[in-house]
Amino acid sequence: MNGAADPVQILPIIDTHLYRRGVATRGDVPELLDVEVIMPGRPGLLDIVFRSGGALRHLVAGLRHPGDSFTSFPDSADPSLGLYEDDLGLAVAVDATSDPEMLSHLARIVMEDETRGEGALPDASTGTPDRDGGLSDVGGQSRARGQSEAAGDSGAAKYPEAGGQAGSGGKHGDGVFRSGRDAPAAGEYGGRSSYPTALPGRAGGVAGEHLHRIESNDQYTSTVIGGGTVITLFRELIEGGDRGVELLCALDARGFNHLAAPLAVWHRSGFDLGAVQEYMPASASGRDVALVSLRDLCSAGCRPEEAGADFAADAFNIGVMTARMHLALESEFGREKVDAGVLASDSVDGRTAEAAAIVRSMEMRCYKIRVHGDYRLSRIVLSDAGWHLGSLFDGSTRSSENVSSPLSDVASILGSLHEVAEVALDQRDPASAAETGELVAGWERRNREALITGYLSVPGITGIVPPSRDSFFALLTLLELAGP
Amino acid sequence: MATSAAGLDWFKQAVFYEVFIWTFFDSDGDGKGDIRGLVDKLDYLSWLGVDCLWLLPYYPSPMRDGGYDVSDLLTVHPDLGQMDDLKLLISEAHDRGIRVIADMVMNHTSDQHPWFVESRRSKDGPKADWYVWSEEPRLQPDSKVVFVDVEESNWAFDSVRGEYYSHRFYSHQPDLNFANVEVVEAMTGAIRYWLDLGLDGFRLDAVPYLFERDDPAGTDAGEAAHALLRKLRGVVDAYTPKRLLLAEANLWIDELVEYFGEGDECDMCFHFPLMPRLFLAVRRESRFPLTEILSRTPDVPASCQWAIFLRNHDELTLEKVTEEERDQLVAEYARDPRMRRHWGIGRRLAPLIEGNRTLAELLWALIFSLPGSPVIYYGDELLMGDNVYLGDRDSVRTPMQWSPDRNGGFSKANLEDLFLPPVTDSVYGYGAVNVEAQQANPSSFLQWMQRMLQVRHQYSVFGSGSFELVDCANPSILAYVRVPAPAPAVESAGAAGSGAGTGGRGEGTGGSGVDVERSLDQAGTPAGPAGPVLCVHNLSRFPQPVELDLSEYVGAVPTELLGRVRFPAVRGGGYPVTLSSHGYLWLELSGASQVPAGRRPTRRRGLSRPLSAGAGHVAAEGHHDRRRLIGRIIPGGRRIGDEEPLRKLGTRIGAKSPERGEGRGSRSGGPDDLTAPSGDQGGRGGDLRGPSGDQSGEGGRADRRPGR
Repeated sequence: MNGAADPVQILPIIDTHLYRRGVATRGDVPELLDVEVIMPGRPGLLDIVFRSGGALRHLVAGLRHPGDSFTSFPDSADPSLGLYEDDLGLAVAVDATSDPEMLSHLARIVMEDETRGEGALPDASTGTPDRDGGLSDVGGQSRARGQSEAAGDSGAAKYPEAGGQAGSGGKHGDGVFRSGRDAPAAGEYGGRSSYPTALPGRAGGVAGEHLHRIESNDQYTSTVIGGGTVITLFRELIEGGDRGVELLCALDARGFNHLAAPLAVWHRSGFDLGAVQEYMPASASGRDVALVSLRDLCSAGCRPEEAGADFAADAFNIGVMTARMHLALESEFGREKVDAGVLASDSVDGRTAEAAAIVRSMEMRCYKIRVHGDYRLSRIVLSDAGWHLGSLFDGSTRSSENVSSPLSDVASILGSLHEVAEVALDQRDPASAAETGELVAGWERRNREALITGYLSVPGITGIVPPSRDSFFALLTLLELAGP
Repeated sequence: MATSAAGLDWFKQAVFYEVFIWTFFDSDGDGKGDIRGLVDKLDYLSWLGVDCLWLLPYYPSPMRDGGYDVSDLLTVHPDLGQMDDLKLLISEAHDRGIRVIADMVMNHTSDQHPWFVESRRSKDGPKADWYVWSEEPRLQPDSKVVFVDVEESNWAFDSVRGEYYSHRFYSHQPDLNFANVEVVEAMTGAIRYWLDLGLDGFRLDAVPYLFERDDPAGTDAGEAAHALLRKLRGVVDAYTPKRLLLAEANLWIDELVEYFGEGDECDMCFHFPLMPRLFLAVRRESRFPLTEILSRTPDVPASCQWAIFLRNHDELTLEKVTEEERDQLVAEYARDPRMRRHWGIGRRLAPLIEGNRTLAELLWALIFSLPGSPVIYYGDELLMGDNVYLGDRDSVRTPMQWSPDRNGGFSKANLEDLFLPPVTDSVYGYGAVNVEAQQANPSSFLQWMQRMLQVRHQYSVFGSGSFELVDCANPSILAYVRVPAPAPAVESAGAAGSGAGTGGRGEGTGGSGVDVERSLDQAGTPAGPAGPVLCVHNLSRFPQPVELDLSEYVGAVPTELLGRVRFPAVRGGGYPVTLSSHGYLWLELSGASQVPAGRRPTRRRGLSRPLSAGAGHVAAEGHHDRRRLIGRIIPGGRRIGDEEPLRKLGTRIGAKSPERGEGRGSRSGGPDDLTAPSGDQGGRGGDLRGPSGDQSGEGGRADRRPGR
């Protein structure tokens, strides 16, 4: 199935691609690292990894019969990249991420591990991510691990369950209805319902499947296919492995489900090339939700808890999600005991000297774990199933292996609460800045408390953060002052 | 299309109107509303656009619970009229294309009912076992006291018989014992009696409470209730044209849908969990309380439909929300403790939302466009007020306000003689809020409502289309597309047609003495097929911009339904719309180069999608690794073991990039920014003044009632 491709023909295609993307190559010649025919024929697909301008880049080129008519995404540049000739004759090469039909083929291939002989299911018992197994599907492995992990963590049901008026039926488990953010998903009730995200049109068909682009930047493109899945293809690759992909798979493998579940990752020749995930429509950024709350508060002029769009329940649930993320990361990547003094001296400047001194003076047990690293309100999203992590393929979550105290993520999102409060304040009439400032400060205080309460409510979290209240807040304060 | 309206699923296109005859219109000046009075007002209801009347109990009763304490199920209360009046009502309503359903109180009777009088007399008399008796009050842990602020227990001691009897509601309402086949026979007899008289169906009161306990033989109480409903359905299905069973079951969504059975129990159920969340969503200015419940609302059998409502004759029930939500709702909507009733808030719509007209329009626009058939509580079309000083739920049962005349035009009796006093305050009193004034004022709320119903009737998609949520980043915007159901198969249309047109009236549709089928056939018939309708709602009290993901409808030219104003065509990328405070837009998407049915992306959460579509199993065919794919893609299949409840939170979470907005700058060719004017062109009342006939004619759609 996989054949050789002709490098001589590939370089002009890469050139055109870089030109179309407006990438300045400073005159250097792209270095071709890997080319593979991943779908022979017409239409066909060539997968190309190259280095240019000091960066690792990735291009999937579709091969079409000359004269084929095809569509591209409305916001795409001209997808055609030049000519290519092989045994089948002349073809037009196109950027597959701009060509819905090609992308659809590609998604099918990525999800179909049978296309690669060695791409069998990873061994569920080892739980080791299949980093070299070609097109690896993460499904079976993570489910198996998720089950065992989740079963062992049964004491976390702290969320107030209201109602309990289960009525007479009692056929659907406990009949308890958890509202709002912590609702179980549709489809969990006695098999009667299912959330209709099946993929009609997937079976056997590429044409007619509906695709739409939700993100296109220099780093990657994300496209929703058939309404139920989203495929992300990286344009720029990360040397030594993609940390975002790693994070995604690790969290999923550990049963952490506040994320768009990975259905498959595309890994070839040591490179992470893309991922297919569940798609959850109609979610909103945490920043936007917080701004709604602040907008409501400022115009109502009442106390935050009395305002309609009170954010505290959300903040609590964000805290819960954060703690679960940390527990999942800790169980996957382990932890490292560190001296509080070292943590303190990591971040000493004028602003933090006093806080650092306090931390150093305290006896506290500290751990470093793998953390999110760029944990802000704009990187989490609310859907009708609750809070979850947004894309892990942005910023430092993708490019670096962030290891720090788990409280650095907490500090980061608390800083984000502050930042969004400031934004709301800036938008208001300066004449009433004093009153608004008080309201907004009350909002921030209330939601900080709620978030921290939610965080600490998750069983097990005190095992990886400083256990006493004083030491917890001392370290948190230090990390907040130190900033990102 | 006539088949869908006049055939088996007429109720899917119907707009329901709930009437409390006692306070609707008094035709004889005795201070109490009556059936003749309702007949007198049928023209008004027809004008408003009502398709089906739901009559609150009109049976003889001591009236200690608004008539739900029935002392004779087989006739009408003498104060309301005679049986001939009811026959006349049915006949006159049918002539106008309006159906009539009645409340059927099965769970209990009044303690004045001869059955109970007989039953309490002795422990071995012929009706000794017709009620639920016990030597000891059997406290069942799950046995909820409904009127929690009045009754301490569900058991009361009867000194005559020397035993306790069960009462789910008031102690003067003993529960019937449906484990006794004689009781079941008596009840089915009553149902046949009314159907023979010409009623079009029933709203079944308090369905979940029919059985008090598990049968000694081992039958689960819930299962017994379902078996009874299937039996009743069998009785009702023997009649043509199609008669309706509408269940009142105030339950969590997963239990609620049980009352549809496999399409063999109730045709409709009230969507109780949706209602408080409408109020919550506008309070939070966030769509999530709504999308959360909508996503959890399972498909209902193809023949079934939700009944959706804002308010009814009961309190605004807060049973089916969390404590946190209840606190929020009470804090917002019932600041005065007098407003609390039982498990909820005893207020009408208008005072609940402090008379905010734009908010009222938004809430009704949601009710008229979400999947389900709308139910309007009498007076809410005027934004009538309430009287929280009246006891129990009488606060929301004050007389209909017809005119600024004495007693609001409800009755010519002396004020002291009235069944309930009319509202007279300066804001909601009949001097300010009444039908006469609002009919005369083209920009009144009543006129707006009438116009909205007219539009709704032109688009069958509101009644039977599927529901697809539209992506947008702004959390205060709720946008969805109602997509027309695929054209019905020839056989089913034929079957429906023959069902409605046989003229054979089953066991008897006599009584009303009119050609029911013919007149109803002409009623409620939506105009021809239309495209999908996009509904966009701003849940915030501030204007909001939004970019809608309409990539499925590229090429469509949206046309606003009220004013028939054409909007710029949908191109690629986000479709920008601006909405005024609490604004809404209904846009028909015509000419879209839509993905063919069957290949449509499945963002739909089709409340009315047929079960046979096999939701969740569609993708099971194909050459992929089905098990793994499906297991992963379908959230139910992605459940993670016996995880504790909190972990379920994200089970079917999927995400898109939260920084999506940042990518917008690079888009080219997006449509020009649109502004939906709040006042005049777009959704608001401005077009009320306009020549509505012309406008609807422009779309090539006939008014559903040509004669009007």
